[in-house]
Amino acid sequence: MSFLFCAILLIFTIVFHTSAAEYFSDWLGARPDAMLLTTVFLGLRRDRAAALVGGFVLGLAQDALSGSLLGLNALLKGLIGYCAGGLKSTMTSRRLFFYCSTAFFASVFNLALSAGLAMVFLPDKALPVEFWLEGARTAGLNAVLAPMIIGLLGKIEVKTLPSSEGAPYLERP
Amino acid sequence: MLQFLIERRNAALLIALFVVCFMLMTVSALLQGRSTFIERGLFSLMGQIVDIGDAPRKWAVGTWQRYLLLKNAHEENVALRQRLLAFSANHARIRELKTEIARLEELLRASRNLAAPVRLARIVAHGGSIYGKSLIVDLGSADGVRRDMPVVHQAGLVGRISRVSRGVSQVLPLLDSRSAVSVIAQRSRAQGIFSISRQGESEVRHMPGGAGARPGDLLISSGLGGLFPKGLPVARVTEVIDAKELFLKVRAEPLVNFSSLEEVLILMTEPRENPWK
Repeated sequence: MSFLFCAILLIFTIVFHTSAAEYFSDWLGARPDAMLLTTVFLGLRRDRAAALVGGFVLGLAQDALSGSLLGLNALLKGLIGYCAGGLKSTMTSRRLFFYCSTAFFASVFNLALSAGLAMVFLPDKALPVEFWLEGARTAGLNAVLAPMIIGLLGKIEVKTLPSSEGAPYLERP
Repeated sequence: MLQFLIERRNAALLIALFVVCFMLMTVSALLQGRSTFIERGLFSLMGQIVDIGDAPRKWAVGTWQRYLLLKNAHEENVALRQRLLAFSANHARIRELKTEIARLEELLRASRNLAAPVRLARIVAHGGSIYGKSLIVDLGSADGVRRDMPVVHQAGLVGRISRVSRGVSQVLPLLDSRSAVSVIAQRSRAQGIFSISRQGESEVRHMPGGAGARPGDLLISSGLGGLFPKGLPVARVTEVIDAKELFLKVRAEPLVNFSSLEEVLILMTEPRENPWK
């Protein structure tokens, strides 16, 4: 059941990233990184392994759909999922600011590492200024949307998986 | 070994992630834009997922667009209905104006045959009581209308002005029993008095027995009495009964259809003084 939920979530994220996120691009000039937000959600609600695999799959899909360096986003999202999964056991607060800051730093990490990896694997291609501007806008948008999206997905998960075990990871008091 | 991997699952997965991703990136960077079978397969798979997952959105967008089309069609329909109503009203007005112009042209043509100056008057009311009938026209003393001025139509004589106020006047029509016109048969020149009997029938009185009046004869004003000028068409003989008396019994119908009268001409002439009065 949990696997099915994750599969549906991944498919939904891919669809959202390729369709609905475009409206944000037309509206605000930047699109939220739905793959990243879902990876963060998996990391905060599941364990490291699930977030790593989920992030890897989402990143691979992102690479395939964007036509960029194959494996780049897969590595980044896998690492973000792994780190977010690690945060879960160390952070004691699940408030809005926590979601915002996690999404923001994950976006900055994603931006910086993708630039670094691009310079390593594609040294002859210079990164334009727009890359950094769009990355910054995306980071801001992710930070703003993170509480809403992660909170909403959490509520959906609790509603759809009312198992005897309860929600996978209950909120800490 | 397997046990070790299970125990160190996270670390193993992380190492595997690095290895796989660096391999993929290396291959992708080496091929310099040429897609591998992995990329093609992934792209094909993602395309199918996106296509299936996007179906609800497409359906929703399509439904919304159809709804908007229907809504626009409804609004357009309402607007067109309003325009149609406006055009219908305009069309009726144009038709009315057209018939009015035709009537006025007829009146104008008839007025050219009259020696006296005329004024066009519109009938604003039809009056009627047990005492008689009358018409109200929209010209009065301010327009130069005076009592006893003849009122005509292109079909023939209508009556005379019987009462005048500043803005409107009353016309005593031929249909009123108080109205009487001295007429002459155009063909036989026999004279008589056209009037309405107390029973409401139009007749010609005092026409001599040997005058030779026949049905269909046109009766015109004789000019006697000085009220109406000579030669105005008044009525047409419908029946002649020779009762072997001094005068014929002649029935005649006025030429003017009073029920459909809308405009008339007032002859702006002062009635001649009757020297015998």
